[in-house]
Amino acid sequence: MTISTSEFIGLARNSMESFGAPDQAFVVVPHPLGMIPKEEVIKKVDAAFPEILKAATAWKPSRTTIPGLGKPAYPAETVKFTGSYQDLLKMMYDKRWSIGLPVVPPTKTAVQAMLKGTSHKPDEVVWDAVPPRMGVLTAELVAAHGVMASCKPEMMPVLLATIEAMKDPATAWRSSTTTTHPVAPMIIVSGPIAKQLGIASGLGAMGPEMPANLCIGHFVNLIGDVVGGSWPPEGDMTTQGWVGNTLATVAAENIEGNPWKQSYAEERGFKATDNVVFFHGGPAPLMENDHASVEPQDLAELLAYTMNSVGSSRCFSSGGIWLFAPEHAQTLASKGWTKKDVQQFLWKNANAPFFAQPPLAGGKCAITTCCPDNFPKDFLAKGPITDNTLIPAVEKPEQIILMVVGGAGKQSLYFPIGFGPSPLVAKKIDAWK
Amino acid sequence: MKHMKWLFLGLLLVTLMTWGAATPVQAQGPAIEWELVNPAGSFKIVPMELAPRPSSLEGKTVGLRWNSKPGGDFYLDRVAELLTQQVKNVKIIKLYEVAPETRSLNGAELAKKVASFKPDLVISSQGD
Repeated sequence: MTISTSEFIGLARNSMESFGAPDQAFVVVPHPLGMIPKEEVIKKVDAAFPEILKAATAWKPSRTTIPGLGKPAYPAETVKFTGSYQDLLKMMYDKRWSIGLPVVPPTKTAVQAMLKGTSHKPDEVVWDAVPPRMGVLTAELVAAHGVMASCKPEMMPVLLATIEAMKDPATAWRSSTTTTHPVAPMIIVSGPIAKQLGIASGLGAMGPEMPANLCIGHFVNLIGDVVGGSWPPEGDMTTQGWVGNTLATVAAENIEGNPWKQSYAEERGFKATDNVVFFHGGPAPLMENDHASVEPQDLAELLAYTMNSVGSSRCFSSGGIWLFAPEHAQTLASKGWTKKDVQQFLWKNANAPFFAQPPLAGGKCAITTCCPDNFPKDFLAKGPITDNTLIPAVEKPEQIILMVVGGAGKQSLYFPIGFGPSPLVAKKIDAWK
Repeated sequence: MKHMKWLFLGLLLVTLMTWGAATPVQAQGPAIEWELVNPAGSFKIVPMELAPRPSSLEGKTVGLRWNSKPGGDFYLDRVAELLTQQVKNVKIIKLYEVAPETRSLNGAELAKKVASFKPDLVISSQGD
């Protein structure tokens, strides 16, 4: 049986169903349990205990089957509708077939045309269960969402490779899409295909008027919300949400602006001619705005300081991604600093005292706390942890990922890794041509 | 009669204004017959059978699983206290103490680990 707070009961029920239980014994207690004194938590238990005992021994399921199961994944159901385009948009939103932005209608003809962008068959299941709804994603449905997001058929291999990255267990899609944490996807494309498809890497790459980037961004969130059912509140508990949950952030690596001339993809062992999608899930980025530094160390010190401003992600976090403006990258590389030198410097200098970390809850380690029990052994061996002990923001230097994206200007962006790993999940695009 | 004319014109104006306000202006296009692919598609869930409930907790083993969110452990600690006080011979396993990895595992991995302790019932805390 599950004890859930009142704000989370929708997600708890939805999750249980998606794991296969048509019903479950739930006891609902008033939200919250966190950030209140222990005595108040105990009062909540005492009030609910008779119900807990009853649910433990006398609960009966209200249903034993899950409605709607067993429909074939292919071909997708077709639906006839008569009305204006505005009526169509309303119908699609009401059915949870869009996220509220206008879409191109996924007519059978348009979907067939989109499928011409890949040799993969329309009935191929490319993700057998997109959580939390556990939607079955076929190549045909990928094409339908590509149409809706205004993508062109030649984008299909990128869309399919992105799906392969999203479903990779390391991406942790279920937790990243249902959490209160403001996780939003970011997709970086590397390789010659970026230019061929017009995926922007320069000035304003991740902003408006970049149709190829915008189509991928809309596509990703359509898949998550329409096929995956990540819909608030029962399928998505993001506390505030942000625009990244609406249109995922998309860019290509700016190789011309990269003074090291080695892309992140090459660092990861891919060839310069390989076409690769990298996937990341995390909160909104932080911005470093330095128009003055001439020496690499001066700029790097500021970058390290910025990395300390990321809340609970600054305690031995699993990493972050710097998208350097070409001019910042040029400054960092100007005195012969390699990427590894930059990573090492940032890792050494991005740290904050233990007292400035999220506190332990009643002295105990919890998932959101900075917990000495989880610190690396070699760090603990250096001596006792005091309030002034400097805690590295990132566990290992190589987890600080350096890429160059953007055009003229002196702004760089830091995307802390919220969910998923560093190095980033990577998938080859050409396998989906 | 002159007043009647102004009254009539006034009423006409009010009627026209009211009619305009009551009819929202919408950029409605023509009605079209659409044939669409349902973009939500089907879904696949493998139904599971829940274990039968024990009719009493007396002499039974109860596992407590904490999701590692602050406060949830205090809650389960108190549940353990009350169960021990009120239920004869109940055995409590605080999974978050004997198997701390259960705090962060989920899905089948979690179920497998929890099942290895052979509890008759598991009480889990969810929420922040």
